[in-house]
Amino acid sequence: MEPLIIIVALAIIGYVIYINLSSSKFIKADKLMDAGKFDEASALFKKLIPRKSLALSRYAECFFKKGYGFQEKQELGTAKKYFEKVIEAKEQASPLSDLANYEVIEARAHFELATIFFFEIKRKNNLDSIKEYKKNLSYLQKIKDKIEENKFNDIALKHNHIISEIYFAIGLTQEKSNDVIDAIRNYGNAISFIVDLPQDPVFLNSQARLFICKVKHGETVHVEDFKKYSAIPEPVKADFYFRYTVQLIQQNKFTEAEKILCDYLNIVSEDVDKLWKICNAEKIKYVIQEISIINDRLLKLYETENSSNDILETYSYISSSGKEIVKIIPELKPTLKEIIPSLFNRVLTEFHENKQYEEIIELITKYPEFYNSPALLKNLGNVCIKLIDEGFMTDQNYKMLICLFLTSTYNDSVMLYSLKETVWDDEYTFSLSDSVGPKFKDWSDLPENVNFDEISETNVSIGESQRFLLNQFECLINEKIVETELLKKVHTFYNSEKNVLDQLVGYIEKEMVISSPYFAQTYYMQDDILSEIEDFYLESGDEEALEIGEYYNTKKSNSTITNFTEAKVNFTKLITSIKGGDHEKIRSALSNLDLTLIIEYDTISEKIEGELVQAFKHVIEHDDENEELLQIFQATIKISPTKEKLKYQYANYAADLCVSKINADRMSNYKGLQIMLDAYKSMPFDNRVCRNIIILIRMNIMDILNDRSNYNSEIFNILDEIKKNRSKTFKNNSGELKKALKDILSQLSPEVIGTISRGTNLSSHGWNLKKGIDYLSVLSNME
Amino acid sequence: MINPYEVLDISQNATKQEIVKGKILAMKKRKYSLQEIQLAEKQLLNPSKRLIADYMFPSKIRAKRPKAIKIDIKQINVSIDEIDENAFDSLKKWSDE
Repeated sequence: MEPLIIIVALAIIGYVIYINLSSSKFIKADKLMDAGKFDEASALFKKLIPRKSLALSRYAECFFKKGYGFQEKQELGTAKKYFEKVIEAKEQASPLSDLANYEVIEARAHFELATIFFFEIKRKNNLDSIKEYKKNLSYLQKIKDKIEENKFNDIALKHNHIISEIYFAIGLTQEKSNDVIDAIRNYGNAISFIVDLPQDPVFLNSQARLFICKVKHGETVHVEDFKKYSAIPEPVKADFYFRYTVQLIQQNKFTEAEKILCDYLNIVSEDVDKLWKICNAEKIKYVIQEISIINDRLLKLYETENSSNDILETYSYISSSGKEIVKIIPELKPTLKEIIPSLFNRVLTEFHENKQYEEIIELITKYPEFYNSPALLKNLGNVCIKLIDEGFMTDQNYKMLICLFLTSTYNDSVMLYSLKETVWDDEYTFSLSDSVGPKFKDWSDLPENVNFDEISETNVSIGESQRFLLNQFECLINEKIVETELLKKVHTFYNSEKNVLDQLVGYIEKEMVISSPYFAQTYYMQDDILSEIEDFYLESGDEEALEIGEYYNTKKSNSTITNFTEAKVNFTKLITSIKGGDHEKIRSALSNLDLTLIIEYDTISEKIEGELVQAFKHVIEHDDENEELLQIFQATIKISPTKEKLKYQYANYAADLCVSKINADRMSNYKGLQIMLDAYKSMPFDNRVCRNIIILIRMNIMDILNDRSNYNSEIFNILDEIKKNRSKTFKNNSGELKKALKDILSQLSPEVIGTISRGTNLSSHGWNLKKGIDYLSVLSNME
Repeated sequence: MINPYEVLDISQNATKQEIVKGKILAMKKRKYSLQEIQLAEKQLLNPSKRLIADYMFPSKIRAKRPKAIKIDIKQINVSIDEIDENAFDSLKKWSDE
């Protein structure tokens, strides 16, 4: 056993010596490296690699530092050799080596090699070196995480910039040889490498050339995009705008061309003058050609058989071409305007015959001011019915079908138009007395057989027909929509739109087209309706009209309806913040919201007190001892136009709070008196409030007499205030103060009472006693 | 929804007499059921309901038969092809550098 112990001990001693020896060698090598003796240091570190974990990284560092030294002296070939040695050093790694430390040095060596390589490529100044730059860049990307971000970004930027420059140069060469397609590609490449440098000349030049080449190639460009690059040199801009104007003229976009000429080519130049002349000549040529085409098409349309598509195509062609012609020769507007309705009717008839109901809706709703035409509204109404009848009401179109139908039905002019269109042999007259539409003060163009007289057998009710139509529509919805969810949505939407219209008709006096809210929003018809509603409100003060106005109001501007909405929203926000109980939010609501608006509207102001009481009730249920709530109560009492219930709630809350906190010694008597004074001012005739403040008066006076109060003068001030404002209820409850006075006096000798009543030579205690007795006496006086 | 005018095969301007006559002819043709024919007649003889039937007809907007457009302008014989697109050629800027 003993020999074994000796052997182990010797081994341990040997190991310790071995380690100590290595450590001293490592220190020595470190010193050599610091002294710049890299060859000696590296030789020593190399030997230590199997024994010391950091030896490998130090060994590599020696090469790195040596290489760096050569790099600084611009001896790049030698520097490269040493950086490569850093990378080769990895082969020397032992199982003990700390590779993480080594890899930091290795990455730096890679970086320096890549940097040297970058300058080598650059020195070649070769258009074909893009590949080499890209390769070097991707080489750098691999070690990105191990080198400083700034260093990487700097070298990456240099790479990208030079790649961009080369692409731009290639693009220029190609453009000069009229190879615009390749030039476009390479200018695009140039841009893609320096997108983050929008002010860089290479970026701007590439953008400018790209736009110019696109125009040269006949591609459509967006001039607004070009305008973004305001730093492009002026001569280059002029080149672009000149070519672009030529392109616009070639595309018959004369108005745009003239605008560019005016705005961007406003220079003294024979070429620009010539372009102006040509633009005018081309305009005339275009108009003559277009009119010839239109005339040919019209001839064909009325003299030969045409398919629906032919008619629609001619209609669309003339509609859009007509707009262009009118821009050039405005005098032709009436002539062209006369052609359109006839073509429109042809298309409409074709669609009706082919039961293309969805196409009818699209056609009509694109027709200028279609809503002013009772004929078109009538078409829309009956087409909606037909579409639903055929089971085509869907999740996508139900809102549109409903709003079109309702708008058609609620405009009496539609039924009147329908009446005009037919000739019945009977001697019927028709009455608008119970129609569903608005009761206008004046009707223009009212047919002779229409009146506002009572309904009779011969005076037919137009309203009855309209209601029958509405009923038929509702029945169709219920019959044809199978999907429960959709039916539910349709019902909700239909009822909402219809209810609004039912009310709206009561507010409209001026002859106008009325529309359901959805229709009005879709076709921007709100203004007239809103103005009628506001007039009605200003005359009648009926806030229900404003409620209806809200369905049409999309304006942000200051108007009665916007103010009404704001008042409602602000009030709701206040109530929500109170219910939420977050005092910060309540304070913010009270100070930031315009609450003066809410009392301007009866429908809101009459709800204020009730809703505030409910909101406070909700808060008190969760937090009944919060002093901050008292201020919120006071602030809302100021806002509320009626206050009695709110004051009662506030005073009782204050009383509860004081009783509870004072009894639990969490509030001073003085603080309680302060709180109850405010409550008393709010509710001077409330029995409970008076009883509580009287108790607190007694307690505060007793505190003064017993030298327990630090607020004597403040308490006397409060008592003075109460003295001046004693209510009948207060007086009725003041027996407690009388009793307190009696108790105090009974404890004093007649001499003391005499001294106090004379009030001379009193100590401060004596003065307090005198004042306390005086206040008790005055405040308990029932008179 | 069946159009009562179609059932009785009469025009929108049909008189009472024509409606009754239409009913008899429709019954003979048997294209529609007796119930449908009677309903159509009833609907057209009731002015309120006839208004609905009329509402269901397509309507046209006011229009005149279009005439060929005549204009009196003279064409100027210059063309955009005559313009020198390179008048402001900025590519030269890089040729000079």
